[in-house]
Amino acid sequence: MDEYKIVLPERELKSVASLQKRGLALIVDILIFFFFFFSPFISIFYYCANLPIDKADVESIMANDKIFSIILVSDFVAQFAFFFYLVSFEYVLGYTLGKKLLNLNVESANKGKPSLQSIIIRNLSKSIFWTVLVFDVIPAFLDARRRRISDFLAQTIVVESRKIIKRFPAVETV
Amino acid sequence: MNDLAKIIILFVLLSLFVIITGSVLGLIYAIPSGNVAEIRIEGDIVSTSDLLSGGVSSDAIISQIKTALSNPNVEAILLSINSPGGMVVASKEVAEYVKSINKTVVAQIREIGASGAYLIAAAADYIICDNLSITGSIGVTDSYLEFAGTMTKYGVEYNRLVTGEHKDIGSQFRNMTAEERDIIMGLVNESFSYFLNFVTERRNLTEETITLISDGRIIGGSQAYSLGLVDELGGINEVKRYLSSKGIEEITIDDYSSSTNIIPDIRNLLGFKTDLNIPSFN
Repeated sequence: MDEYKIVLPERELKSVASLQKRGLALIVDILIFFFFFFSPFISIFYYCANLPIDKADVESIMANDKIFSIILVSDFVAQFAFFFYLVSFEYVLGYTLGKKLLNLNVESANKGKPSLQSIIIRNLSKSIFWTVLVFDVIPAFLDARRRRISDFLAQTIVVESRKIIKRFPAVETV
Repeated sequence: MNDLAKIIILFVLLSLFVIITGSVLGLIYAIPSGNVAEIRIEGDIVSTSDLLSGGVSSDAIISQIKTALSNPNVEAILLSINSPGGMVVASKEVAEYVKSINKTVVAQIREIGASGAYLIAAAADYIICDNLSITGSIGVTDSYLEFAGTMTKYGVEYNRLVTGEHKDIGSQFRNMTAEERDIIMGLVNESFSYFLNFVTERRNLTEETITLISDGRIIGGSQAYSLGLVDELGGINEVKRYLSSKGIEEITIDDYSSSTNIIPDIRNLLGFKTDLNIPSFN
């Protein structure tokens, strides 16, 4: 005797992600990076460098070239580490953890998975060259596909995926 | 491989990157962890030094102390002194700077800590020397060799072409006049006055002691201790004991002195001095 099950067909609907969600995803990524990677890095770095943060006097630190250079180095490395986080997750998975939480994905504008080069280009302004992020984002407010300058250069778009269920269920033979 | 596995792998790889990078960079950029900074003052104390001039410059000493003070690990400064003294202004610059430090400063006189070097030691909070150390020599000298008689003997003449009567004061090639002697002694006495007042104030010396040391004699460690010029006789163990009494625990001493001259003895052998006769604590 055949057995039947009722199937609720799903379809994935993709639409261009809003800038608010993308901004929120970036904030979530920064927080994740800060707690899971940046804080341990700084703790290990400063411990190995014999720099007791709890006793540090800001004025004396700034006057000490070596200590100031330590802080600069840690800042540069942190930026590169965040860059690696963004690139590795987006290239391997198509999304970062922040994007995953908000159902966002990075896709190639020409359909398919973006290349590593594209992923690198689109993430430079969010990490290493973060000072230009504000200018990078401005065109996205005017573009229908919400593309930043980096997205234009990398030929990528950020989409939001939603699963929708068709109104009429189907019956399938098991 | 599903997405969760990939996320875990990426997390682990990034964590390894963080740990390794943090450790390696931290070790590369490590600052001294010691809580006591040793500043060595060795040789003649001068205003500027180079490879051939020998000694240690006041700028270098002060720079080393500033570097030490800006290290949050440092709780005290140890001045390790092995110097016969040096130039007036150079010694004064270091002494005044040491006096202004708001952390514990202890001076340890090794073989010799006399004249300008003692001026610097007197600026410290506590002075320790060995009973066989040489200290004292609280005075100023501007002595120089005069070759006028020798030149006359060999028929060498000194053509004096000056705009002012005292423009070539202190020249080694002519006799000094009484007036010139008074002028130079005025400078010498002014420097001596500063030196004596500084030491008297810092060490709370008695009138009797002041009278005794005013003749510029060198003083042995034992006598220096009995006169109150130093606080304790001893060596590095006494230094550590004093620092412990100041609440500094687990004493680790780091040397903040950079290497200075590699051939200081050559200068001394050749007897090079500057052409100008400058009063010196020497």
